[in-house]
Amino acid sequence: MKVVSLHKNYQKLITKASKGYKRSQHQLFELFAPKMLSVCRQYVKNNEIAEEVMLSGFLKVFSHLSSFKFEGSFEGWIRRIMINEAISHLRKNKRLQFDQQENLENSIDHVTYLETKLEVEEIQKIIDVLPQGYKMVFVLYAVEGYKHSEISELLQISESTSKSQLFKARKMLRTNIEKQNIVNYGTHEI
Amino acid sequence: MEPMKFEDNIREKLQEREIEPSKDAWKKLDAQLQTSREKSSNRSIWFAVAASFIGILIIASFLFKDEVITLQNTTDLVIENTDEFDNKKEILFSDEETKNIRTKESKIVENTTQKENQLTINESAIIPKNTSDIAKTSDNSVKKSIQKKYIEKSETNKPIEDTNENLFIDLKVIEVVAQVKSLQKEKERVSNEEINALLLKAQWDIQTQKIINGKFKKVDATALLYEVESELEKSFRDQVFEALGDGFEKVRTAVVERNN
Repeated sequence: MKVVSLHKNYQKLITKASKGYKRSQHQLFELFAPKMLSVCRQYVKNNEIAEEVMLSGFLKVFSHLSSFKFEGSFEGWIRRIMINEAISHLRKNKRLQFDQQENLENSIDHVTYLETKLEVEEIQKIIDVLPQGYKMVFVLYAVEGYKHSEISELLQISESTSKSQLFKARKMLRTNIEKQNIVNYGTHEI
Repeated sequence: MEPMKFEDNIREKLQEREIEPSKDAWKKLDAQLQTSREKSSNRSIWFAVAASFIGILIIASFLFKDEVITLQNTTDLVIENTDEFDNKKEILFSDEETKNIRTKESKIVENTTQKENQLTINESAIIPKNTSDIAKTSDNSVKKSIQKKYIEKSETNKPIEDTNENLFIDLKVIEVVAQVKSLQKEKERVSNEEINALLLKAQWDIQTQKIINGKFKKVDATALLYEVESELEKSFRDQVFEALGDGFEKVRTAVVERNN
C-alpha cells in the first residue's frame, strides 16, 4: 500500500513538474539530487564540476520530463541522463581516451576478494586513481551493470576495446588494493 | 565474515552513497530553467507571428484574387462600351452615313408631309384640334423613325434595355399628347412653337433617361451624341418643323377660305 501510494505521489509530482510547476520541480530536485550527485562524482573527480554536470543533467530532465511515460524506474531514467551528461562533459574536455584494443580472448581475469569491506571514501580514492577510460568502463560495467555491447554503444568504442579497458582497470585496482595490504588473492576464472 | 568480491563491495557502497549538493545548487538550476522558459516562450511568440503572417498573406491573396476578377470584368465592360461607341461613331460621324441618314430623314419627313397633305386635302372638314394631332403624329412618326434608326444601329445584345427605352419613349409620346390636348382645351389653337417646345422637352427627358439607365458603367454614346446633334441640328429641325407648319397653315387657310 505504501509503495503504491508512493508511486502515485511520484506520478503526481512528475506530472506537475513536467507542466512547469516550480515547487514540484524543486521537490523532485531535493528528492533525487543527492543520489545523482553521487553518480556524477563516480565519473568526475572534482565535486564542484560533478555538481555542474548534475545541474545540467537536471536541466535536461526537466526539459524532457514530458517524454517520461512512467514505464520503468524514474530514478533509472534520471540516472541514464546523468551518465550521458557526464560522458558529454568528458568528451568536451577531451578527457575520454581509450587505449588500443588488445586480444584478451584467452586472458584470465582474477576475482579479487576482500577481507573487510572498504569504505566508500576509500573506494572513491581507488577509482579516482584510474585513467579516465579505464574508470569509465569499470564503473559502467561493475557499478551500473551495463553489458559490453551497451558500453561500446554508449562510448562509441568496440566491444573488444570495452573488454580490454575493463581488464586493465581490474588489474590496476588489484595492484592498488594489494599495496594497502587488505586483500586475499583468488584464482577463479571469469 | 565471508570474503566478498571487490566489485560487489564497490557496487553496494557506491549505489547507497548520497552527496548533498551545495546550497546554491537549486538557485543555479532555477536560473537556468528560467532562461530556457523565456527562450521557449520567445520561440512560441515567433511561431505565432509567423503563423499569423502566413494567414494574412493567404487572406490577402484571396481578396486580391477577387479584386482582380472584378477589375477584369470592368475592363471587359469598358472594352464593350468603346466598341459600341466606335460603332455608333462610325454610324453617326462618317459623312456619308450621316448624309444617308439625313437624306432618309428628309425623305421620311417628305413622305409624312405628303401624307399629311393628302390627309388634309381629302378630309372635308379640318378641325383645328386634329391639326395639332396630325402635326404631333407627323412629328412623332419622324422622331420615332429617327430614333428607330439609331436604336437599330446601336443594337446590342440586350433587347430588354431596348424595349424599356421604347416603352419610355411611348410613354413620353402619350404624355406630350396629353399636354397638347390640355393646351387645346385651354386655347382653341395650339401654336407650332408650343408643340415644338413640348416635343423638345420630351426629347430631352428621353435622352437623360437613357444616360441615367447607363448606370455609370455604360454610357449611351448614342444618347449623348443625339443630344449634341439635336442641339447642332436644331436649325435643321426647326426648318423642317417650320416647313411642316407653314405648309399645314397654308393648306388650312386655303380650305377655310374655300368653305367660306
